[in-house]
Amino acid sequence: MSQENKVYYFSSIGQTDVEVTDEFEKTAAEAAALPIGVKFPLQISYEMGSLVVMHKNLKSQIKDNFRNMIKTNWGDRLIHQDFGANLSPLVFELGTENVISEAVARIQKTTQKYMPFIELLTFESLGEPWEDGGADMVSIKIVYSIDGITGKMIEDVINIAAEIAG
Amino acid sequence: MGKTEIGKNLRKGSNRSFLARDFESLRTQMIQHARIFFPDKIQDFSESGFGGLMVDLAATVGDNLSFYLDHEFRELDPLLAVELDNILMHLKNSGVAAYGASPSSVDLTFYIEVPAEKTVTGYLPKRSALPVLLQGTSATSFDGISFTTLADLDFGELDINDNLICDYEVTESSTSGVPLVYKVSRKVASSSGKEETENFSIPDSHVPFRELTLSKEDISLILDVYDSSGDEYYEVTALSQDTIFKAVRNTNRTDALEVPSNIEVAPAPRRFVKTYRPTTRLTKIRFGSGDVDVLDDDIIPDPSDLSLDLYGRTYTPRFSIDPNSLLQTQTLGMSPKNTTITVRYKYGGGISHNVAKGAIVTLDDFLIDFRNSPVGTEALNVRQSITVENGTSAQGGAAAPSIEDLRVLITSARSSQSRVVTKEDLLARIFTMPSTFGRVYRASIAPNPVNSLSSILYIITKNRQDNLAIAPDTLKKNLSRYLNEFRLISDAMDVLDAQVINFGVKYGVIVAGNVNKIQIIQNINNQISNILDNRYFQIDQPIIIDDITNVIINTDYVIALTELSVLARTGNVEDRKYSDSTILIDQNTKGGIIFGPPGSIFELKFPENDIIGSAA
Repeated sequence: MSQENKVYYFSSIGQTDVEVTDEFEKTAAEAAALPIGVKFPLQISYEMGSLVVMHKNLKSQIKDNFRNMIKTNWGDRLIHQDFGANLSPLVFELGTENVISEAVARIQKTTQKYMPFIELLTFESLGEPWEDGGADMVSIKIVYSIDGITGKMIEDVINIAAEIAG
Repeated sequence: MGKTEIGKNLRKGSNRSFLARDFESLRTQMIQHARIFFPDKIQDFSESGFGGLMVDLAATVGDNLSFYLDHEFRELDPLLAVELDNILMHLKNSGVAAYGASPSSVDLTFYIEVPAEKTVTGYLPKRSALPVLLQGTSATSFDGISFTTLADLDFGELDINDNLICDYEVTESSTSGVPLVYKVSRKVASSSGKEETENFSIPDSHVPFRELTLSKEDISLILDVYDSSGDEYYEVTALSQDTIFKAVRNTNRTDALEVPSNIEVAPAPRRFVKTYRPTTRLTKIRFGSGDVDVLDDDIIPDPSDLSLDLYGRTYTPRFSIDPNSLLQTQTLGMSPKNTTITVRYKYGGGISHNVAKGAIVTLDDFLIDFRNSPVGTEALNVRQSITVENGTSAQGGAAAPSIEDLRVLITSARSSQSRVVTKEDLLARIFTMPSTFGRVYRASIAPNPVNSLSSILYIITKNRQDNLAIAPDTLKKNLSRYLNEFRLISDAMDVLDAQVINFGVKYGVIVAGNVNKIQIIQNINNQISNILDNRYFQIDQPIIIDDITNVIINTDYVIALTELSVLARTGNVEDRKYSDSTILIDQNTKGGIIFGPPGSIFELKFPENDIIGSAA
């Protein structure tokens, strides 16, 4: 006996009222919120009064700042010579225990100084270095939480480029 | 009112502060500004954010600009400037001539043996056999330091009563007691250093302010500069100075001994300035800008033409003149071209040139002139008998001053002028006296208690061992002549030697139990020796006992100071020779300060022997 299977159309699947309302309120709230800081990578903004796209959410701003800090090497930043985790020199050795300890220590040190409201939880080196556009990269995963912003942990995978010998 | 207008009014009304100068204050002010006026644009100025990065960048630029502004202001002050070129420029602007290592000076005594002759007054050295040793005669010390005579030495010179000025004694007599040979001696001033002549071929092209660099280091004196036509170029202090003072031999026998030269004003159309660079220790000479082919440059008025004729009236108004610029030519002296410039100069110097008494015994080159047609064999014998010695140690030689040493002179030189009016003028003149005449180490001026119209100038120099030493007579004479060119006509000055008061220090300390006492004593001794070094003492400067106390009690592991006394040192102790001048320390101590007599200077001469410490 042939039985006709019921076909579901994705277009017919909608959202509940609650979901629609929540999303609308969220979007409206974000639109009404004041910009906090520049979003990376830089993108041209089509919003009135802003040249580049800005973060309007504190959590995403902090995440962006943290990512930038981890990717910064010592001496890159004017005045704050110790700003950053200086991981580029360690890219090829992030598989060894000693070097991972060193990387974790560096991340912890700069975070405590420049973003002390971040609580670092775990660090993970994700595999062997790989090449991207001529640069050797390695991926790391850091799990952290932000005091007073969210109870949830944030997982962030950050690609670190190897130091290019001058 | 719209949002834009509110913003405009806010901006108008806001007080902009220009007090922020450094990184932190600039950064704070910029963040404050952004938060007031652009809260709707960006809020994140933390160090980790992009906003913070941009503010840091702007604050760094502001901080750098502030730094360079401060730096430029500091460079305008000679005492704060740090860039060598700027310090040298300050020296030049202040009229302090940088100089290299100084030669030492000493009186050389030359001896000759001369046959006797009978005169109406008895036996005397034979006058026809008495030669003249010409300026430039040189002698060398044991350790190879060369000394050159600064003036002609005429053994046959007579005083106003026709008596020989030189010293003489019989060295050989006949059996009947008739003098046969005299040993004749006379002193002449000399200075250390070597003489050099350099030729420069100048092409046939006009180069204003042509410069020539002399090859030797530490040139103390440019003796003369001639071109191939025989024209002399004169050294001046600035190229705008178109006349020079020329020393002309005083032929008046009544005062020729006291005043050997007369001074004359002479035009100097050909002139140059000398510059010394402390970093390379090389000397450059720089000529004027005038072209010898242009008529105006060749007009060299006679200074006597400057006296004014009173045409048509019997009076003349008062007017001002610049004595340094009498010629009124439009150029700054001629620049040589198509010729060969010959420069003769003296170079070399340093503390090693202060050779000991009796060290100069070797005669190198001597230029001898017999002016009274002696017999050939007698002239030959006299020539072969010449010997030389220095009866005193050579003094005044000094190492090249450091930039810091020269910088100290700027302050006093700035308030100075071309004549000596104030005490500062005088000290600046003394310390900038050309090094060829020797170097005064310390000088002080005090009113003369006997003659209210004159002052007393106390001076002291250094010997080879770097100790204070009485200035040699040659140096004093040189100083007297030199100052005479600058003093006011009514000024009188007595140049006296400063008294050197040697002293020692005795102390006792209690030190912590577990330390090496000898090491502690050695540390204290080194520090006392350092603060009492003669570098830090001036004439009439007292000793402050608290300075010594301070050093001792601040030395590590010293618990208590049990004894401290300053002891006078004089005469000979073992093989150490101290100054003959001394004082009673107790009677000259008031309120913990030891004062010396007027015109004295304290010296811890032998710190290794005269600092006596004990530790318990």
